[in-house]
Amino acid sequence: MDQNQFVIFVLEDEEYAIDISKVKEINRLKDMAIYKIPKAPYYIEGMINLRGTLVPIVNARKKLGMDVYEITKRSRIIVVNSYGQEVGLLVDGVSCVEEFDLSCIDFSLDEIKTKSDYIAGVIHEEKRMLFYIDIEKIFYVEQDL
Amino acid sequence: MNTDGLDVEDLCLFLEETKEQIEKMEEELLKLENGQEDEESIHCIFRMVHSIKGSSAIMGFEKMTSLSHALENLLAKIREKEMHIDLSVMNISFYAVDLLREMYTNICEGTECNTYIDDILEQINHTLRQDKSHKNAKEEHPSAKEVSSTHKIEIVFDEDVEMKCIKAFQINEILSQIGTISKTTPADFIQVSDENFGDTLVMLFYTEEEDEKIYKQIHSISQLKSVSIKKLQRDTLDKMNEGEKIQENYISKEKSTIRVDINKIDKILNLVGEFITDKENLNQISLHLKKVYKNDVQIHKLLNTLSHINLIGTQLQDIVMSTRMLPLENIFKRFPRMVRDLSLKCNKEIDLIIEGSETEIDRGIIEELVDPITHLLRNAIDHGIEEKHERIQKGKKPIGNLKLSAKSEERHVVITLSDDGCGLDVNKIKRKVLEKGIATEDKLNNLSDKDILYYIFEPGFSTATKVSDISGRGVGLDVVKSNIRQLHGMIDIQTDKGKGTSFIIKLPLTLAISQALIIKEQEYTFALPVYNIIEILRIKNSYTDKRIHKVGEIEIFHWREEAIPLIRVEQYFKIDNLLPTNKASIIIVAVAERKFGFVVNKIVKEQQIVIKSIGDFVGQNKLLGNLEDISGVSILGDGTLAYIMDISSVSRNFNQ
Repeated sequence: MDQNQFVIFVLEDEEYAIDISKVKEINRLKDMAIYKIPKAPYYIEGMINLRGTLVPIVNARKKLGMDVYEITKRSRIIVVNSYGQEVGLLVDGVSCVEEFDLSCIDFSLDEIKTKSDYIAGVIHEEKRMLFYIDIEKIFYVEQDL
Repeated sequence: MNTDGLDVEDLCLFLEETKEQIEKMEEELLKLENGQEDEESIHCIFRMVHSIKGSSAIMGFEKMTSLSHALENLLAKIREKEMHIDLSVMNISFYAVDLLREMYTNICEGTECNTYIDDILEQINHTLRQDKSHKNAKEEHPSAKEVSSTHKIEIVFDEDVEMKCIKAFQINEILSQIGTISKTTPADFIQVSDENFGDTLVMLFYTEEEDEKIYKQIHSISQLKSVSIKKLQRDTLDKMNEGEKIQENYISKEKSTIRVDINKIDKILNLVGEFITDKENLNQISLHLKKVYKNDVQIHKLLNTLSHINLIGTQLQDIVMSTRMLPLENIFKRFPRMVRDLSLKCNKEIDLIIEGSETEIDRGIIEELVDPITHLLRNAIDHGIEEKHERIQKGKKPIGNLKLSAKSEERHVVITLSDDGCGLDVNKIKRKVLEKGIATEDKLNNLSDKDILYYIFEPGFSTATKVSDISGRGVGLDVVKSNIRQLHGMIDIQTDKGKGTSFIIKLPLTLAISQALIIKEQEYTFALPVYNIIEILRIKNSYTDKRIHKVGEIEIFHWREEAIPLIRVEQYFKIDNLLPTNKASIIIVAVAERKFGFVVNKIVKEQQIVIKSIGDFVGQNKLLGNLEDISGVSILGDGTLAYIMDISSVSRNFNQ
């Protein structure tokens, strides 16, 4: 009934889902030069020139506190719209676009949420488990940074 | 409020006109108050109020109409010299103008007009009544007042009236019974067809009757949208005729300009920006081609065409820039009113002198200047200029002086705000810095007085010990600094204890395009604004090398009898993998009367860059953090991103 489309991306061995309506485009890294920004926060990978628009890139692994990992052929930049700005998320890979029923998202996981509030819920589907990401939370910066 | 059936275009026109009229009214009121009790000012205000009344009635903004009607009554009394201008009248008028502006803002924002106007209406009526009793007393002497007078009658027809000439004829007939009609516009209304009639009939009418009677007579005719009657005095009548002539002349001059949607100009500017980026790219390619095909005729043609394109590019850019230029007057004219109100509130007498308001600057910058200048003005009035008795004690003139001046300097605009108040107290600032824990005592002892002054721009610093509602609004001068920084400008302080303080703001003429030196540090590309650069030296030769002295962590360069600190760009920006510096250059830059040497590894070239703001991403709680040392990004011809260095910020951070 309430079918929503999600873009599924991979970090380490886990799958994450983001609302497709937030996603503007997905880019391969070989077409994009990422320009590092001097003195930028640790999790900022750099900035790209997306057909004349400046788009900062957040390294998802760094932002989520995971081990850093080399950029490979599978790496992708997901350009999303966050509060009216275009921002890019560097991920290990994008697997597909899937539809899920809203009812299979479990939003009531307080234990996870307190530790990492950008995880808005967990999607259970048969044997898989995906993390539903609140993309705006990832790009929201707290004072302490 | 009824805006149904109204064209958006009409509304825009109405808003634009009303805004101008409100501003003009305020300006003239200030003139009046400054003792230039000039008749022309009164007439001008009257005209503005009158036309606001008319247009707001047409648009259906009833509150605006009734307020301007009341104000018009008040002004009519002043104009006919039946009433004196005193402070209370001035305050009422200013208040009314404020309310009109509030309504204007409400209409702009599309919100319901909920301004409370009963108070002001009552105040105006009260003033008028008081005056009436005077007048009645006068009227006991029969010679005191001439009863008959000339009226200007403006009648607006409903849009759907047919045969307007007949209506006009009827009105003409009716009025002729009670007085004489001396002039009508359109003149021969009987011969004018409906299409050419317009909606308005204007008559000059001489009668002994009261206004009410005239209204009654006219309203016996149906299908009239609005009727306005103004009493004219003899001498003003002559002036009015003159005024109309002047206006006609004005209109004929006005025809050579057009109003253009600013978005269109912005679009053109963006296109020109892209054009310039491509042009730079083409120039690069052509240089390359020239090397490869030295003797090809086509190459020469290409180069010729390119040099012409370069010329066109420069001109195009200048013209587009100039269309975006606005005189600073646009914002400067708001300040006299503000200074008046604030000095009344603080119980200080202050003269505001404005100079150079004709200086032009990009419209993108101009609006952003209101806040910082307002802030500095408030600051000067509240903390800078002393109270009257204190000034007399110090042997100063009792009236404080505030001077706001602007001038163009090369490709910059310099705005100076000086007061002749008490000046900044370095020791007081020191104490405050320590108290607030912004810096340690050791650090302060190492700094010059000038450097210490800059602490007033730090967040969390506020010299006012008591919070006042004037400048102590919880935000400090740090807001001013960040505002100016966003405009790629610099702010400097000069202070003389006991004599006064000057804030000097230096701004680029335009934000969009500038000349810069492109430098490279490893994989990073930077752009240095050319206007800061004084000289470029190669370190390679041993003579230069010998002039670099190392004092602990700091490197000092001996340059033209001066000792200037060196900043190694790659160290400063924490770019690792230091290369041997034998190919490096020193770029001497000047910031706010101080000089620095930037040591860079590779200078690419000098070129025009189009500046893109990254302001959306930079700042507290923003994605890129406080990226203070970079003021923007430019996309170079080959698609590379160059970070535009904020030299004043680098030099300041280097110092601290």
